[in-house]
Amino acid sequence: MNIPEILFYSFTFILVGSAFGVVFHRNPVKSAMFLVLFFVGLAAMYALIGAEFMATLQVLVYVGAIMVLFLFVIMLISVREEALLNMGGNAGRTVIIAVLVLAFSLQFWVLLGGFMKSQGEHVVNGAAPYSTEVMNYTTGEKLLIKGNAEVISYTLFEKYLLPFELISLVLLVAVLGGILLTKHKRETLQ
Amino acid sequence: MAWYQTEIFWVIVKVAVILFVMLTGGAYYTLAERRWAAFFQMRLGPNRAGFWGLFQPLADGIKFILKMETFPRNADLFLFMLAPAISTVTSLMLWGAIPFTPLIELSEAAQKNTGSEFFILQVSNPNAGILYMFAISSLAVYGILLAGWSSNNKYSLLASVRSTAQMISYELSLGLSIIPIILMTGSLDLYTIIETQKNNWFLFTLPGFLAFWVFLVSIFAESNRMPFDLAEAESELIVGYHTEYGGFKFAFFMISEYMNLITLSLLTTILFLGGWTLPDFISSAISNVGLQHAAGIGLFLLKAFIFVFLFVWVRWSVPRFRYDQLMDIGWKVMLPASLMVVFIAGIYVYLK
Repeated sequence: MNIPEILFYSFTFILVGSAFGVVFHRNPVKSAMFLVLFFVGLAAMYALIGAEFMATLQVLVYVGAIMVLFLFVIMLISVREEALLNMGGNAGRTVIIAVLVLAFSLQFWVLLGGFMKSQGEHVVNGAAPYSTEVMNYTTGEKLLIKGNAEVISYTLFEKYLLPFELISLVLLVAVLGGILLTKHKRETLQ
Repeated sequence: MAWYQTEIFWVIVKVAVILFVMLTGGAYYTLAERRWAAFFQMRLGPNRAGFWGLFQPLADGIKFILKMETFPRNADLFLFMLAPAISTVTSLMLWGAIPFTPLIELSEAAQKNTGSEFFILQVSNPNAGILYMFAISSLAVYGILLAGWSSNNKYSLLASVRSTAQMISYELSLGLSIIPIILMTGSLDLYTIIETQKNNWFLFTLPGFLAFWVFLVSIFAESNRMPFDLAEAESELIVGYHTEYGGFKFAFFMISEYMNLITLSLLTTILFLGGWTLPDFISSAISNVGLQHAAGIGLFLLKAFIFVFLFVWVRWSVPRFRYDQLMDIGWKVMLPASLMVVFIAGIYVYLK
């Protein structure tokens, strides 16, 4: 075992452990903190395969912004320890849980099959692109770009510009929808 | 290869040096703040422990360690202990990416002894240095949030909720105000940002000048300093989110605040005031390369020191904002202003 592999397995341990913590911890605040730990672990995983830029963005967006808002709301409402629900009490819920467990085991089985086939290859090989050759669409010349940020931005803003803009349009609509919904509620309350 | 020629050894040495300087700097900043505050108010300040009170931080440290540990009833002990640790660790991690020195070519003897050709006092150079700084500093809010919630005290909770809302609001304009810098440099690397400003500091370009003021106001708000220190408005909330903390746990919050201020001063200097670069007319006057580096690093620390003083100066000169005023400034003034600066920077870079 070399150092990257040891790191990989320890991060995996943290990731799986914190994912279970999110689901099974009875205190919502600690559940949220486990999710924070999960995102940090995921960022560490990205950094391990050489995608430092992705790791930074993961921390900046998920941990720094989204989870802070989550915790903020959880702390504002009164928090108490939740009891585990009675599993078999509700027929509909039982069906949903059974289907989800089945789907998960199926997926796990398929993934495991793929893993067995590729045995012998390294799990971690540091394959994230450090540099790539791209074509400048305006001048037609080929450029060698280096660094994660440059590679990602060329992919986003040159190769997939239209889908990227469409996604931002969808997000804009979502933002407007959110504002509209809250405004509507406030008027009815007054 | 001998053990002292490996890269990992020198990284550990750099970390140790930076940790020592940082903790000492944070401790002495508390003394500086108290002394300067006293001067602003025509007092003498702490001057009993040693000459000019220079042993005061040491005395404070001993006092903090020897104090009895107290824990509030019904507090969530794990999170209660975790909160100051998060605050301190995040402010310590910030110095990992700051390039304190330019890339210095070592002499032949030094090359043989250290096993590396160049020396730079920077622990690691992450792919997107400036984003790394912002990612880590956005983690600091967890310390405040958890401290307020876990101490099971209504004043603490209110203060931490206030402070979190404030930090989230001003993070937007802070993030937008560095975009002109990134646009003009074309890189997210802190070293490249400094190098680009060799003969023209970003402060003296139009978008840089506008962004500087947005940045300055935002870092005051981010570090919870006057006039934005609603997190610890003594007259309303006792001392805010660390009301229940005593002893060394309080010292952690205290020292991390001051370390953050030093980091922000260094960062402002790096982003707007050219870091350790020397303009051509100075570097041509100094013939010795070693002296050039020394002058550059000295000027870098001097420029950062101006901001260190500015933080204290502003704190003891202006009154605190009201909470609704704070939010109005954040969302209705700073955010549109920073968007305008980004727009102007785009036009500026396009025309140049």
